[in-house]
Amino acid sequence: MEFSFLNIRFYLLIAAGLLASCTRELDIELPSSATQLVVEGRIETGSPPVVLLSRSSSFYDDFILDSAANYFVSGAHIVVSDGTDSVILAEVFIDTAGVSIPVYVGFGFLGQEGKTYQLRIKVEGKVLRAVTSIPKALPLDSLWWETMPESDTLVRLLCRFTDPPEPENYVRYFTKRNAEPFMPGFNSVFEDDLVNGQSFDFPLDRGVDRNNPETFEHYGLFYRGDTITVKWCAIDAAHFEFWRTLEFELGGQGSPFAAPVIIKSNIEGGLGIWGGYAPSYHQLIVPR
Amino acid sequence: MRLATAAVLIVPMLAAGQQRVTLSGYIQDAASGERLAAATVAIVGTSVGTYSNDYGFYSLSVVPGTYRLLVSYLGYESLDTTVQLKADLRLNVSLRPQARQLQELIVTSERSEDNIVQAEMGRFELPMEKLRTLPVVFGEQDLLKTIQLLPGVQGGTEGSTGYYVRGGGPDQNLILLDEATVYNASHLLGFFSVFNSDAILQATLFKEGMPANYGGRISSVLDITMKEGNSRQFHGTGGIGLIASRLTLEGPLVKDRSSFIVSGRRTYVDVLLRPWLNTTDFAGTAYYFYDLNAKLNYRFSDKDRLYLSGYFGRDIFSFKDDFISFSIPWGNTTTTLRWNHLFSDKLFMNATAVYADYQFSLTGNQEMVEFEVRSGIRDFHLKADFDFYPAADHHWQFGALYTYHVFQPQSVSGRSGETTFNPAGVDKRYAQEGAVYVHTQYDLTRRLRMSAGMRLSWFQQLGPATLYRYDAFSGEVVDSTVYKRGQVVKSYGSPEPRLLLRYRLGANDALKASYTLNQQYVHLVTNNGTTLPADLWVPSGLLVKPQIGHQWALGYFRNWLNNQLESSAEIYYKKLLNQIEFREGYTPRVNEVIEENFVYGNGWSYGLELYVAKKTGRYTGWAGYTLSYTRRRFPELNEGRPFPYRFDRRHNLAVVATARLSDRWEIGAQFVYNTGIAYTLPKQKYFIEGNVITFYEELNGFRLPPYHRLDVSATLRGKKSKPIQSDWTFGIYNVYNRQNVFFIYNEYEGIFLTDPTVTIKAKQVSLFPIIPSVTWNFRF
Repeated sequence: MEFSFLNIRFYLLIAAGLLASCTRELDIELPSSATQLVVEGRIETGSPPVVLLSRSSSFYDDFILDSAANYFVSGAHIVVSDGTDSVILAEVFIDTAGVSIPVYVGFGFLGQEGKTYQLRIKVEGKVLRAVTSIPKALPLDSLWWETMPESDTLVRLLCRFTDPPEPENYVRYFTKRNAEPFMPGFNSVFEDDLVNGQSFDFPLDRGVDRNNPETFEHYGLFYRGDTITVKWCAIDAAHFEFWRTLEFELGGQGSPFAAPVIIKSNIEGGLGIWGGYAPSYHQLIVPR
Repeated sequence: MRLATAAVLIVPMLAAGQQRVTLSGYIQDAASGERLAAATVAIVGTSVGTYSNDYGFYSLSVVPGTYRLLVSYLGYESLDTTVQLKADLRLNVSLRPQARQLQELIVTSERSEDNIVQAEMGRFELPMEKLRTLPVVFGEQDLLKTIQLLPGVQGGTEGSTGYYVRGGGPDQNLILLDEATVYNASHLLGFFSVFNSDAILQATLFKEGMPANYGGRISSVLDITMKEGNSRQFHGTGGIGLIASRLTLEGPLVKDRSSFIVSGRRTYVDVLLRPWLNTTDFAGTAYYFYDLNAKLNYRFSDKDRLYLSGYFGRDIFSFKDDFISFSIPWGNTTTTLRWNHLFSDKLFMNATAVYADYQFSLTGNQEMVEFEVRSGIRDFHLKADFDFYPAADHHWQFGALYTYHVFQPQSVSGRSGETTFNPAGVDKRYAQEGAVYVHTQYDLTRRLRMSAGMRLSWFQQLGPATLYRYDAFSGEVVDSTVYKRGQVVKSYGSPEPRLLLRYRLGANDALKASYTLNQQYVHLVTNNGTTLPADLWVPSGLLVKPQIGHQWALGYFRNWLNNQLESSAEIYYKKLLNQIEFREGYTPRVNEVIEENFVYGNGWSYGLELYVAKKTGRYTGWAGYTLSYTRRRFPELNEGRPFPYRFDRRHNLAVVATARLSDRWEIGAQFVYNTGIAYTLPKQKYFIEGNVITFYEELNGFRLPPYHRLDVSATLRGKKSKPIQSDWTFGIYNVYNRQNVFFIYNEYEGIFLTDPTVTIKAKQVSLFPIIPSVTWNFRF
């Protein structure tokens, strides 16, 4: 049902708006703060570390698509270390949609389960630090699908998961439909504080591209004939907190009733995330 | 703590052994016969005195002798008389309302010394009659807007009747209308309160040290008394204003024994606006509200009196177009039945039964789907209060109360053709609450007076109830615990002591100190810093703990010019435990178990309040200034760092003045200045996985521009001789058309990563520009 409390509140606000006399640009100094360096870094089991470095812009400044490349930071000195070995990340340029973006990759240095990884970035006279770990992978027990009532085409993906007896396990997952990329759903992270050590069944949401609202249609559901791949990743607590708060923030965007969210970053000296993933992959083909 | 307080309470009993006679009776309005609450009875030349209680009863026990007695009540001529007390004496006092004549101003009589005599701090009496000449928006008198002008009390956003006392939340104020709890005191998103000024006799606000008969909220108590109705003559009063009209009828049913009052108010702004609205996007929108107050009393004898009073009010908002139509009524109902009984000259009892509810509902249909949303709270309440006056300087209050609460969380049900969905909705919640209390006032020495109280309260959430445990990931229920009907789900209880001390320094000044502990078992959690009609009251239970408020205050009180001017300077510190907010990023959803979206933390507030008031004479008014700091700390908000409360306003100034120019003209003005409220605005934006992320550095880290406003009014009274007396009140709200910020929103132009340029602008919406008003009031 489309009608939600948001709407009710909105209508009430309209009622208030009937009395509201005047809307104008805020004639006061808006908050200004220093531009922040933003890290989007990951290291997965069996893969080299990859870091994207960008900078934030003042919230009320215009965003100009043509100069999007200017938001990315080139020329950084980035080192990833597991305490014994370390690697200096190489800067490579990747073209996406006609824009050349610098990406830092630690070739030959592969993530391993159970290890802790320090990230150190020196750029523009600043030093950013972060620590993450790759936990032990937590594979799903099984994967299956269910038909949806009153639909010949839609299916729901379900899984069974056994949480290990130790507390504080965290997971982030992505799904991939056929040849599409892996994408997270609106709520891609999970903690076991209420279900520690239990086995249970639950549905998995199809991932979406948040910039493409068409992918929101029939949210969460897959289609008959799909080849579904689930990337089910164990992550650590700080990594979990980042995505949990970030997804809250994204969920509330555009609603005048949402409370603002302060996203919990694990980057010392900047914003963003340095996150380790221990993925396990599961595939299911839904017959036509 | 409990033992120590009990000892303090017992001491005065031991001192009460001498031979005494009792002077007691009722204080009433000479013209209407209405009982006057909180009138003072003082023995001139001593610090001995008392207040009349809520039903106008007073009692003083003194050693036999001759005494000069001063009975006074704001807005009435004082009675200054000498009484010889050899034996118990019943003295009913009738006070005449102050005539609006200039000669009266020359009369010099003793003024009330209450400010420096009583141990109470942070207590304000607000007789409605005295507030009539203050300027107000649209000419609608409003009690709740007036109390926002007192030091330590703040308004919320522009035009709102929500108020915040010493850094407390909007749900921490107990609002009683003839002893019934009013859960939502506002109409139209808070622009008007539900209290029709024609039906209200007076109100008392306590910011701290509330007597132990009050409880259940941790920041303040506002005790509002409805008029009783004239027991001598039939009268009608009414008024026609810009947006609403009022009519009140009152009179005797049996002369001097029984009277009634019926008062109604309805807005008609919808009728006036409809032709214009229908040409706009808002065509099909309608809104109005009404209030109905009624009260009946019957005096069987001087010993027994029965009161029946009620309030019924609704806001109705509706919308209709080709696709969707809905109607949203919401409002309060209260019914109070009271029995006053005098066991003796020294022992007064009031037994009360109350039914109170607040209901919100929405019914509508959209493209063949009918739907209904309900929420609300319902109370059944029983109470017995006793006043015992063993000696002149002793007053004991004690009693017991019980409340049964039924909470209806927001629940949606609907129907589309043959299919119904969610017919049961979300489970109701049940709870019971009780308390016993004792409060006493006693002079420990000639200079030192103590007012101390102890309230023992308990609260239980009752079954039927189901506690669900969810899978944090999918939101699906993984476990549940079921409680049977009447089974105790969770219990809470606590002693709640209050202690106030007054030390008389000299003839005109006193020092006072107080400590107050309050527990609050029901909570209203609001999302956006403003209360909305659909906001929910929730009980304490398995997930939600009671809110606890500790408050310490110290004040210096001084009267000037023969008590014509009173002033005070107070400092306070308040600690608020188990405060509740929504988790970060919460947006409301239907049929949710709302408690699962709460996070818990603490708050604290401290400040300095300066106040000076002149209550009588040709020029009256007050000025209040507050310097205060209010913070909250929640482990799960703002990364665990303390942050300013939304209504943490550093400076608050309110100046209110009225002047009587002649027999017929009276003018008033008020000015308010408040530091802007704390607001969260985004600072930076950045991209993660291709999503635009907003960077908020600090919760409430930004300040809106200061709020200030000047209002003026003028009242012209008609000639007294006519059978229908009428007055005109002219007002100008926001005289210099200050564009105060009502709210801010961000306007986006363009879509990220699609459009070449995306601009974001912050826009401010202002609510009330300069608004002239005229109201015509009549009386016959």
